[in-house]
Amino acid sequence: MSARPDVVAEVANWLETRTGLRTLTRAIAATPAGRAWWLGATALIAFALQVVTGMLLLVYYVPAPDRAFASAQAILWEVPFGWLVRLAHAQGASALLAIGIAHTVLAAARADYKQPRELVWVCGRILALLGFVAALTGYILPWSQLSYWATTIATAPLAKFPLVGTTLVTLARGGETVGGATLSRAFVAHVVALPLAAIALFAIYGRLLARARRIEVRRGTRASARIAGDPRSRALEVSMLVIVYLAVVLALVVYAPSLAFPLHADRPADPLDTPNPIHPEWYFLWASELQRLIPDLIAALPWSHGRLAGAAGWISELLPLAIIGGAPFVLLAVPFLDRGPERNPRRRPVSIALIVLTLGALAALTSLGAHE
Amino acid sequence: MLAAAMPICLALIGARAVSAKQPASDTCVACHEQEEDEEIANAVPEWRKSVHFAAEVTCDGCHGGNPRAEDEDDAHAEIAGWVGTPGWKELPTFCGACHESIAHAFADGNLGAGFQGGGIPPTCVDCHMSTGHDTPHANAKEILLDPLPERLRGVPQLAQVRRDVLALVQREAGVSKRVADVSARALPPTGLARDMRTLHNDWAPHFHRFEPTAFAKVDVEARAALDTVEQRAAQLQREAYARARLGEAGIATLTAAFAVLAGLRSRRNP
Repeated sequence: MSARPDVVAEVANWLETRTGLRTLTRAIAATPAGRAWWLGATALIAFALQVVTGMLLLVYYVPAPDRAFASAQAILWEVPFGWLVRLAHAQGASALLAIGIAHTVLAAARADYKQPRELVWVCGRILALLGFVAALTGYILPWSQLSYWATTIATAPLAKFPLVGTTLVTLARGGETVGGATLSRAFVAHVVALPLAAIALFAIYGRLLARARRIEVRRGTRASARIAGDPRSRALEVSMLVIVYLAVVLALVVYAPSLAFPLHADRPADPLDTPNPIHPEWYFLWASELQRLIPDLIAALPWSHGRLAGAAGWISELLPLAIIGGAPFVLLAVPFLDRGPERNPRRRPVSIALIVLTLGALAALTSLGAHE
Repeated sequence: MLAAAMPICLALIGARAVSAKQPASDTCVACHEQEEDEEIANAVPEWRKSVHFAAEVTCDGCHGGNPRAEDEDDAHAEIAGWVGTPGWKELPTFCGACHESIAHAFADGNLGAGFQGGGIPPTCVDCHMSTGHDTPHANAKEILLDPLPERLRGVPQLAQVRRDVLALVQREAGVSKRVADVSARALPPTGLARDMRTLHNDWAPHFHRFEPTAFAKVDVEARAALDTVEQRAAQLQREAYARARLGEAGIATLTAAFAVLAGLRSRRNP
């Protein structure tokens, strides 16, 4: 009985010799997958969906102030299945940020930033922060009233920075006010710079994670990889995750499309008509509320109306900016601030209390902002 | 430092949340509610039932004055923009401060011309208020007093324009119902409700000219525009139905695919 040539195996071997793909998939399959692994995998799936839907949107979207809104509306109402793609992109953005936040919280609670994972944390958090920048730059692209005024409001506080304020605003807007130059900048950042940076960071993240894991296994601080990793089982599990994610996004698209279309998102940008009220997206509510809250609180202090009124005004303007602008740096610096070897959440009461308090404050600010 | 800042921040947020629930004080309502003069005292409960209350138009919105002042003179000071109660001829300007296009149409039209001749023609309150502040809600049937006061029944333009307006409003209500159905469906904002408001605001001022012939032309245009909105609404109803079916089919397919994969996986890892 002659052996039937196995074409698939031959192709796989050919590829393996040249790319090492099988080794890589086996290594991935052999990695014990906990909650953080699955959340990370979901983030990657969500990012992939954003890339695919984003590319499809680019087929019809025109990044010019006089045509952007009309092209975005045409995608929604005229292009076959355009609504599905545009809404999936919009709902997927929120989902991706929610996953990024959840992954950050989980990694912080499990102290997945401690030696030798410092750079894994830094890389992962930069990825999460890029998600927020992508959300901001993507927001302006439909050139609706909401796009225009939300961008105006989001970039206006930059002017409060001493000395460099005006330069920062000009840099962000490409001029004194939000306009065509802002749209061009946001477009390039959203469709070229940020996706490329994210793809590179995902690759670096995977590499750093694998390296850190090897060191941990060698030191005995992490369970070793499964001896006989089964790539097909993991592939099935990942496919199931893809299906669940797609089903969730599809349900949001079909049953709650308005979530992606807040007030004023259905009217073209009009620089002469300021809509009221303008609510930021849920992931920026805490920041906008903080900018309202701190000046109110400082104004309520007895010393803020006397001789120190000037200083109080200055603090009112800069403190919210310092907190909002400083938060990403604090997040990135976490591995270098908390250097103790303990990882067990039960033996890190201060860290866990800080995480809970931070989340509580963010949730409270978000809730207040939502009811403003 | 961060640990100390968080509880303080939470406490401050809590304080703000509590203070945010305090209603803004309005001394107009507080004082006038307790007035012995029945006509003045009744203004508050009448206003509370009116369209203006629903639209959050407070006393100072029409009458001026300072709704935060503790002192009666301060509250009614000219410097605080106090306008007071308008005279008969001032009414179109008084209401027109907000209802600008309607006031202009009224002033330019048949009835407004009566003012120029020194007469006392019917004005806003004649058709829209039976007493001081009970401006009814702005729906088609309630916005006009029914029946009209005795002294208005002899004004021929009023009766005809009223008939025309009610007929158009009835047509508009039918389209509004369909638009409301579209708005309640799972679709991104369609802009139809806004189109309806714009359309209404386009034609509504015209009948305040009380010129039946001119209004007939507006009526034709308004009906044509309503037809267009209705066609779009019907198209969107079909679209919403198709999208919902597609969503259901998609989710069903994904669920089936998930079940197949779950079966394959359990075979590999029993």
